Amino acid sequence: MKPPPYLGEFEYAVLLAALQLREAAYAVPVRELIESRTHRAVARGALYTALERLEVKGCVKSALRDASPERGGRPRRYFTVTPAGLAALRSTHAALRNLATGLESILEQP
Amino acid sequence: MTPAPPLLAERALALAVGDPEWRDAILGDLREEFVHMARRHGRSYARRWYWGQALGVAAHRAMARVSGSRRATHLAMPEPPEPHAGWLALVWHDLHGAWRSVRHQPALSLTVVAMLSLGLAANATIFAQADAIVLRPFRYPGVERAAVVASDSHERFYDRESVAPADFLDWREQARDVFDRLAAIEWWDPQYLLDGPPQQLTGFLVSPELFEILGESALLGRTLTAADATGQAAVVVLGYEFWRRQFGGRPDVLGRQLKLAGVSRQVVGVMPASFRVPYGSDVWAPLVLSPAAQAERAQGYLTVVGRLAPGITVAAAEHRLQAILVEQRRAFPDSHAKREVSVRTFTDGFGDEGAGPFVAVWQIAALVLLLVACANVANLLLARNTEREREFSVRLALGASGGRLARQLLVEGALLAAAATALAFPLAWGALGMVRSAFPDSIIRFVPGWAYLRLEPPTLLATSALAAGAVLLFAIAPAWRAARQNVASGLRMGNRQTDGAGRQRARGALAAAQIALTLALLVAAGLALTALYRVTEGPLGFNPANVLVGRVSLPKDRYEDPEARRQLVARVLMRLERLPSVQTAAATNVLPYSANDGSELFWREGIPTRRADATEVASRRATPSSFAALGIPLLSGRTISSADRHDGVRVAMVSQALAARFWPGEIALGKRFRIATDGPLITVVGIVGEVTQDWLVDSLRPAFYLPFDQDPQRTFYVVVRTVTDPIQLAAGLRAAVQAEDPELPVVGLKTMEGVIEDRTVGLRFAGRSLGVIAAISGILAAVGIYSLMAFLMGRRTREMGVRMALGATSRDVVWLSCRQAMRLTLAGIVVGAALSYLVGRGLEAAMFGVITSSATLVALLAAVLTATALAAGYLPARRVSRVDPTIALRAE
Repeated sequence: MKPPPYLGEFEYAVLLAALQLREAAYAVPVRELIESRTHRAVARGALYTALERLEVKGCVKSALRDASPERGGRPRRYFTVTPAGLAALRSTHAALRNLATGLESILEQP
Repeated sequence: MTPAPPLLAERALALAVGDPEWRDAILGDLREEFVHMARRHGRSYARRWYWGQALGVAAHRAMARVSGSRRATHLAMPEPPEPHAGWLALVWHDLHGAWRSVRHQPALSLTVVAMLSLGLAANATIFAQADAIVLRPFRYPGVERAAVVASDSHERFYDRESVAPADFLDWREQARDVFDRLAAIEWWDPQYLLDGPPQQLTGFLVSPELFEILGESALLGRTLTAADATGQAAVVVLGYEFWRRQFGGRPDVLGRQLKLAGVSRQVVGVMPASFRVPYGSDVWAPLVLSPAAQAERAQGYLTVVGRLAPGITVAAAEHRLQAILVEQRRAFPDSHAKREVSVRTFTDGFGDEGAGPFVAVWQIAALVLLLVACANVANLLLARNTEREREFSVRLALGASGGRLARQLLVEGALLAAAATALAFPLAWGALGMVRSAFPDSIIRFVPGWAYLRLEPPTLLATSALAAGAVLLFAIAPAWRAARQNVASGLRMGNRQTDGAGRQRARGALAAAQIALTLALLVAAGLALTALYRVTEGPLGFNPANVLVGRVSLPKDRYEDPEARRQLVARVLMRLERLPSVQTAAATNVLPYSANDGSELFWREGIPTRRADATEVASRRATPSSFAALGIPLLSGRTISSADRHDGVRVAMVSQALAARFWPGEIALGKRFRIATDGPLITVVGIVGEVTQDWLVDSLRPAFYLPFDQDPQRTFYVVVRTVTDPIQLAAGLRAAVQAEDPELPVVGLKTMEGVIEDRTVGLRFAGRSLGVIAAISGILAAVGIYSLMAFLMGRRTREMGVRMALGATSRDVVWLSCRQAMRLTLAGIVVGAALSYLVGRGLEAAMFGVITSSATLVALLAAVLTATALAAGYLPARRVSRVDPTIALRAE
């Protein structure tokens, strides 16, 4: 079995946000969630690029639904994290946690 | 109703995103956010916000498309169209696939497009010149049926102004069946006086039919009519340039009286800018042949233009006139025994004779450059296809036919060539601008068709056709190879790609072909540049530094008497020599490098003075100080002096070549010769050095110089050697002439160096443009060999690792690569040397003996090319040889 793909920092954030949002994960709330939790501005273009790249890597899959007049009749593109995406997330998360082991006293300070 | 985002921004974004699924999602998201934004911050804020977001997202998408294009999904063909889809769908499908493939490797595609567009731009630039100057220099409505008749054979130096008036009248009478209109043109060059200094105009006396033959009507007023030719009314038609220059383009010039050559003439019309027949004409007046002229059969000085009767060809017309000539020879044996007659198309007869071969040489050079570029592109594509072999194998295995793959590759090639063509046009446009500014106005005035030097439909068409041809050249080899792909081996190879022997041979052949073509181009450029050096830096036989020249033409009516001419010249020269900055002032009728050259028949004393025994040699009339003024060295004897008066003994000076030719091994001083059957004997009193008259004609023709006083000419050059910057004396020279005769204009005032400059500007331009083309080709060939060697060595990294692990030294590895490069180069040079020989022969023929081919040059350039090729083979090999064998072994 191939090792799970390595995730970049931004991809990691996007996947986490998509996981948090579950059924409601499309670009607008994903961006809002990342911005509100990380206090960093996210460029829309970068987000779309990352989502597309994650889909190509097989980490997320997408479906179009919920077209509304408010959106000019255009559907939303909802993303769900695939098992492969979950594996990648786990492996990246574990790697970072491993690196951080023993540093809790420093890192967790308020 | 919900507020809508700016339509334009939305459209632009939709265009930038492309992929329809993403487009809908992104536009929808932004619109959703826009609605919230508008509610919270107002509509205008939201609109500004939307624009910013749309542009930001579009930029991101564009970046992602470029950098992220090597994604795993690459090169999968788009969905094939339905089996029974129309050809349009098929083409669309192919184009779509080609576009994906081209986009997949942006660097390679850009390189290919850049190389092709260079080659195409060079061709377009030169074709535009060929079209304007050689193929279609005249675009008058009647030019198709217009022809030029000359009493001259189809020799290299063709003389249009050669028809005797009586012959012209005969033809007009007797050749009605082949020419339904016939017109004659005579040089006029009237002097024009208004306010300011008198001007020398370029003008012609013409039969009114001329305008009808060429089908050109007046811009203002009318052209000349048959009634004008009766000589009752003195009228004149103005050229556009002259009208603009002298009358500021005012329409009220019609009806004005102009004093031209001492006669007052009424302006009846102005011609459009494109009409300057025969060349650079300022004014036209009706030609009225006097009774004496009508009977003139011996002297030919008219240019004759006719309109071919419907269905009559140039050859048929010539045949008819030759029949008339046979009768004339019987009737007038004295004047017509040696006369010829020829008919050419108008374009042939009036076109720039030297331009054809020049432009042909350039065009061939540009085509060769395109060939080199095609070879390079073919090599790059072959290399890329090696990498795509697996893709091809998969597609073949899945049922694509070999022909299908080949077609795909051809379409890819066509797409690249189309992009290159689109890029080539602006490049050619810029290059044409440079060509236009490279020539001085004094030259282009007399180059027919110069005004059409721009990108015109024929050029665009020819360039597109060339691009299509180029596709066949560079894409056919890769396509053919793809069609013959072996599925099983391609799949088995997996990622470890190696070149098949056949492909390596193909690539080697292409690289060798590049070297061969480049060598030929370099030799052509080298020959042209050597000739250029010889012409501009070689021995002139005179010293052009610090010399000012100006031409004076004495009007026929006031200077009919030779004594009047003698007097005027003597007084002008005396005035000039009194000026402090003047060292010597002289007059001569022929100036080196001035395009007009005189020649006369020559009989040395002792041989019968029959025409058949005469030799034609160059002849000049010169005042005593001419030799000092021009810096022509006296080798023996004396210079003609002011004592050699018209009533004295006839004397001459001869060039060394003339002395050696007619009195070999003897002392030429004191020998005598004749220049007319019944003329007096002329004694040689001095021998001077050779003067390079002109690179265009035989540069060292035997020449003799007669004292100006013994045969004063109506048109002559005043030559002044100065102690200061010669051009500062221009006003002084003009003043000296006009102090003697205020109505005499001085034309073409320039330094002697300027005269040479004007005469050689064409060759210099030719040499430099060939140099540029050859340099580009040299760079392309070097890049071609380098990329081939780098690619081959890259492929063999693993093999080299094995070799080095087994004990080969890095020197062995380098040697292996150099040997391979060497083999290609030598093969290329052998073929290239043969090509160079042909090129040299072609250039010798095209450029009037200016160019002599040289084996040394070929050898030198071959050595330079070999060194370049070796360097191109060495660099990649050195890189490979420095790699650690363990890494090399692992290299995939």
